[in-house]
Amino acid sequence: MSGSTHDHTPLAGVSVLEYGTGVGAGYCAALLAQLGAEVVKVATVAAPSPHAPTALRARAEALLLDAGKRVVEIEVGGDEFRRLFTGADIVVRGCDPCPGTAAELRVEYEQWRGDSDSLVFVALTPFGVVGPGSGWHGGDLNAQSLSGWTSIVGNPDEPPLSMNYGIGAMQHGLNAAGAALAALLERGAGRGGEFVDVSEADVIAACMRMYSLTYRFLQIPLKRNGLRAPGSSGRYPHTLLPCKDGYISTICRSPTDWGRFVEMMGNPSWAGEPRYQDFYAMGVEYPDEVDALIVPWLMRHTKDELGELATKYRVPLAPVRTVDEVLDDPQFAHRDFFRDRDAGDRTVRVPGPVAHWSGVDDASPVAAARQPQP
Amino acid sequence: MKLSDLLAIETGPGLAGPLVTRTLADFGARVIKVESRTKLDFGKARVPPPGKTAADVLESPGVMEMSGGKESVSLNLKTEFGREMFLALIDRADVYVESYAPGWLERIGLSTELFLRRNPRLVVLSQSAYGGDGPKRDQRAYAPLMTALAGVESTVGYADGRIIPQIASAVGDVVAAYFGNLLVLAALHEREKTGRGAIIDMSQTEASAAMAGLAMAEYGLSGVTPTPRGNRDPRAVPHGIYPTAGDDDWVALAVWTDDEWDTLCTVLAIADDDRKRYARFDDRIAAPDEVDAIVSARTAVEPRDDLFLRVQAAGLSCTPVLSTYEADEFAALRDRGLWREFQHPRLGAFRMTEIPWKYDHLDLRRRAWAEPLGASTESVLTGLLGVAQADIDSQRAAGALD
Repeated sequence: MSGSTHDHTPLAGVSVLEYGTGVGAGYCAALLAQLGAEVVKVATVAAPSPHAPTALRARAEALLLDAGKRVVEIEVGGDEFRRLFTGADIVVRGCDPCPGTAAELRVEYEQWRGDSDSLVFVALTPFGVVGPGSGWHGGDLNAQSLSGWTSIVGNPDEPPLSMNYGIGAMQHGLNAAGAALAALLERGAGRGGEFVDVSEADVIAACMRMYSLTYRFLQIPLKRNGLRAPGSSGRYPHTLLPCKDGYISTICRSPTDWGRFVEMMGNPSWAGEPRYQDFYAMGVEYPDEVDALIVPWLMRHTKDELGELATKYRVPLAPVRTVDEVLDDPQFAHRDFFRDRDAGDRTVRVPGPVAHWSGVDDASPVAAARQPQP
Repeated sequence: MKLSDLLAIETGPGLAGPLVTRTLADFGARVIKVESRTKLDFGKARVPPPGKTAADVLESPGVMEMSGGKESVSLNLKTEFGREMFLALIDRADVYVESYAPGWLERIGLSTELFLRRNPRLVVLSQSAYGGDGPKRDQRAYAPLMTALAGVESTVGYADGRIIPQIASAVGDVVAAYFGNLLVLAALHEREKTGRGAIIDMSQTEASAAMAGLAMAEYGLSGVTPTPRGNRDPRAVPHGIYPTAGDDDWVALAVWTDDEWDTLCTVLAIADDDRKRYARFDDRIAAPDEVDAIVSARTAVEPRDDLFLRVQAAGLSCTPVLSTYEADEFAALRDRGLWREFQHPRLGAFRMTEIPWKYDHLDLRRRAWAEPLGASTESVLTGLLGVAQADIDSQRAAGALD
């Protein structure tokens, strides 16, 4: 799109203070910084914590989460901290893992905001600042376990699985950033400041709940089911399947999609049998049987070959990319999605803004619209 | 700006785009979903399960979740009148969210640039699978494909490296929705200062890839391709999901210090030999399988909820692994407002999920269930756009309101 930019800063002039612990809070403030807010992060200067990231993880967090922030080493609660606190539009406070002290975040807010009645204070905790879980000990793993997410991932005969690499906590941070901005907008209407309580368990439970209702409607028990979504979510296929060099992910949303799938395979003779046209029964009653008909064909192709065939035949199918492969993806490269970060001895690429903006500068359609029309 | 003063228009299927505007509706904004019987939202067009009909699908829980609190206006955008009414709505709107594959507006002679020229204060969120340009621009994608392409699925699985996906959750859709929400709110913030709107061209797959950012940074630093780690964490042993008495009942348990290990051994009555052998973190991290086996043997003999409360009371990180159905009744989620109950005239009592942000003052709540397709067509066309009833009747007969 002509005149578009990744690096638009709609939050220029918004000041943010970040303190506490956890990837969620760090990502919340990082997103606000990415959108142009001026973020000051209070680095922890306390004694080494058992919760501190490993050296690799700590460097990864710094590269990803601290970009665009001013990191200061000051005493939480000290004079400089209080000056920053009362001068901020948004304060982001993380507590993850939280040692049963979530309720104290409200005390901090009341104690340090002074006379300010316009501060937006966002508390990110595993289970919330209020409620039965506010005094519990726990972190990302525990928040996921309550949410329902863990229960639906894994093999049926093995333990359930949580998301690793901070993926759950980053969803928490994403939600908190939106919650903070909504409060900031309303503040502009004269409403005043807000205490915003965003728990990771709530965030992921709400996501899971929306889907669980659909599974209930489909009369499919929502239990972990290995590579396949439970009951294929009432259609066929909805699963990962092996191929020559890894896995592909596929979900046919309609009989039309399934028709394209078998067309992509060259319309094998079995595909014409009624048994392999019953879209619901294939997914719920005998998916293994249909998998066994498909997998030998998949195993003859690489995941990239299958991705190209899927594009040609308009089949909802994609390669399961490893992280290094993602960094080489031509679509991401075309949109200039990744950003280089200087890690001293090397350059590291990390995700950048997920959107291009247009209509926001002098070369924009808006500006053009202001010009006299011929 | 009061969010309840906003008018938002939506065209889009499924979840990602509609959840953006549903959030605005929950803040009290007026949201109009423009849709058509000629091209049903795939969430409304899925194959009914046994015992259900297409009419049931139109009022299924998924539809209720995504369209609650919105007005439904039926317009056939392939007709001149349909496009005219659509443009009239866009001209009055603060926010427009669209999430069909790129190019559909251009095929009917419209564009987001046109919308912004007509209404320079408009904030447009154009949310597609891969973004508005690039070699995959026109390709369709759904959540389990986006998280696969984004690298997320390759990081999920057991500690021995076996990939087990999280595709049942379709989390890619929800992540895209909350990114969209954040971007729209940021654009509205800027509009307060400049008076100008914007076009935001967002890639849903990039949103999923952003969630894998830490894995990408670790890869960049180490050169080692990230693989599944199971439930483990390099900072804590034990750290994982452990069996309890009962059918498929589990707890999530993490021990962060040597003192916590000592406490856990007391709480679980772990043998002294094992307590001492793994008293130091360095010894536990060197033998995580052995530590897991010791812990599992003790957790497996006690009912889940008794165990989790007892371990919590000792000051350790321990929670039950809840099914999505159990989560509905679990006080720590239910009492914080996970859902709200509605009385639907046909479906009876049912619970709709709330946006999980808690404010002291702001009124964020589900306002209503989803209305039937096209239920507000006449009221919006006459009330908001000033169209005469006779024109509506004739256009309906001509198929413009299908």
